[in-house]
Amino acid sequence: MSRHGSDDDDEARRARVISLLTVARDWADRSHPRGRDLRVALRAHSPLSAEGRELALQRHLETIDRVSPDELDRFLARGRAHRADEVHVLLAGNVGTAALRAIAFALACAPRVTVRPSRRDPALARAIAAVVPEVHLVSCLTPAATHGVHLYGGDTTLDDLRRLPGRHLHFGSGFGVAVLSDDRGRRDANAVAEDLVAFDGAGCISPRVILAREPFAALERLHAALSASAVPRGPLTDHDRVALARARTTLQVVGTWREGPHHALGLDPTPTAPFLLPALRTALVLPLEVADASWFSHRKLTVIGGDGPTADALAAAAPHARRLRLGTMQRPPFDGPVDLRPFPVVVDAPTPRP
Amino acid sequence: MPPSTPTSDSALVAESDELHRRVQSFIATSDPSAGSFDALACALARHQVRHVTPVRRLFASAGVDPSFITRAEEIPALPTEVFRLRRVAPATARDDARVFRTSGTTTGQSGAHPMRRLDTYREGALAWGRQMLFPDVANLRKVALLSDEPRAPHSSLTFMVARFAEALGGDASFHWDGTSLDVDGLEHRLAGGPALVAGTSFAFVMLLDALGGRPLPLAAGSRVMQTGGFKGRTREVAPDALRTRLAACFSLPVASVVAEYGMTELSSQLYQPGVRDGDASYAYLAPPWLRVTAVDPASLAPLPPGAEGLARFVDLANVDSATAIVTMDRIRVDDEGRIHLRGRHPGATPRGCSLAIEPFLETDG
Repeated sequence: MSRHGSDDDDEARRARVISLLTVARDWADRSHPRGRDLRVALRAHSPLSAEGRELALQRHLETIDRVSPDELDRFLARGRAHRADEVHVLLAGNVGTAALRAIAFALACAPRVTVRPSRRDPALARAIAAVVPEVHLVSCLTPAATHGVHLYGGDTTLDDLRRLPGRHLHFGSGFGVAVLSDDRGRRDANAVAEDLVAFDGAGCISPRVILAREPFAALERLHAALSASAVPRGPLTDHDRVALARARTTLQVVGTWREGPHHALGLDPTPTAPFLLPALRTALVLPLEVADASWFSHRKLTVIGGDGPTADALAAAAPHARRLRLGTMQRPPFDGPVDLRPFPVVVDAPTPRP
Repeated sequence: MPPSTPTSDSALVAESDELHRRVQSFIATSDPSAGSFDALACALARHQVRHVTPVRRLFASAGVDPSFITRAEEIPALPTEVFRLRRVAPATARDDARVFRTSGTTTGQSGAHPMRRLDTYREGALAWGRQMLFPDVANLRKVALLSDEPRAPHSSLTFMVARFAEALGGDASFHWDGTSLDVDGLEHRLAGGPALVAGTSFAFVMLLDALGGRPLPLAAGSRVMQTGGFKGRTREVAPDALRTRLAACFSLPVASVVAEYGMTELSSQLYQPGVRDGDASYAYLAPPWLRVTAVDPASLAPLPPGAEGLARFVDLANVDSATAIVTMDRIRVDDEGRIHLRGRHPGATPRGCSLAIEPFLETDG
């Protein structure tokens, strides 16, 4: 009998997740053979710099040592609500370590997990499949109507796959907002810089908008904190450089632009509406008193960092968004998928022919 | 750079009126000499630096002294995004004769182009329309797959088509109510003599769908102008395919179906030359008062003919806003000055589940 008095199936689900989190400890350890192999594999695909990859593994990869029993219970409870014989997972790229939580969640739902890794960042998924017998890699998802289908990625990709048979959970694109308080200026800036450096600010929970009561001071503090980061941004593509140049010119016209070799920040002091800078370790700073919670697409808001009335107002408008302390926006509790927005469930899956 | 001190309202109006007069004269004579184009473009830029805050800030950030520019290519180009974020016009809105707005279908947030005077826009649109759309026929029935002006007062496209109708005489009919197409009324209006049929690409696709493959032959001498994309719509049709399908549906030569390229941020338009030249080319031609250049996407430096880059426009008809703008549309300008559209620049490399810029601004619900 388990400590929750549930059946063997619950125990099996717990065992599978714990087994994966235990192996994850080896991947986080650069001196372990598994850790060394994973680092070699990541080098070939990850868009992050070597330091960025190491940061992701050492600080953001969920391992058995970093997960509390209470978190694990909540994680398994969420998985229990979506149990299936088999779960098919489509993984997104760029936040390479996100594969671990996504596959762990699938293992919390089903005894067999079929994964199509991201073409751009397949290393961790391959490593998991090599050591977890319940996980199988495929190049194409072919679920049955009774299977679970967990789709992670951009909205276009998810739309393209929404007619796959199966019971769908979609984890689409999103963004985070950080709210800076008045009295913890430098400490808050350092914390947000940490959140922004992780994964080069390209995750669905990365802070893309920063609300501050003293936006100019916040901009300068954040610029200083990011300039001091020892973790370089991953290499830019030509398209990235164009997007940055466009953002630079636009912000120079409407506000203030601060750019370092590995980050960029824009401030719009009198915004009429918010906008996003390209996800290249960048953020837009807006004055707290001008920002309006109704501006944001609440369906897209995944994380609210910081506290205070503005953060509360945002949370009221987007109750599904995680509330996290600044500096931990990229390390949400292991209590379920990173993104806790309501899952869009596809109800119009093809009906079997009579 | 010397500080630019905003002048009084009366000085602004006098200066603006004089520039409108010069631009209208340029349009009327279609003087293609580069010198006068450049001189006028630079005069416009200096006016805008004095009175339009985003242009003043653009020059300052680019380190360009407006008093020393002599060629249009020296004018820094304003990104079109700024029209969504700031008022690109003199500070006071009370003198706006009209504000044209972008549809905002992609971003949920519309851009605005305030107009202090509409006559320069009208003169430019008519002058180029007469050359490219109705150079050969004085009497065309005007049928628009658009909303009319009372229903769409902020649509520059509706404004332009309404002015075409005035110039051609007689009534124009508008068959889009904002949500649906009045197919029966449209069919009724199309029966008869030659027509100018104008509309958005999306509305034409709706018409084709409604007809379900049934042809709707138009009288010889008719022509079709379609414009715009499919932003925010559920269905897209490739431009080449749409042109062919429209020609077949209306029983017209492909050359009689032409695309217009225009945008709210511009006061001038480009057209495919089919009606004027009988040429079914997909390239576009700009009027003499609109200079189109492909520029390097990162540096915005001009590229040689034939090279693909972002579209930079110097539009003399943008008197009170920004004469030089740069879009994210990719173009190639060939040796003969014809403009080939190459789609949108993709922006930053897609990054997993990071949110792209446009969905961020989608409205909920």
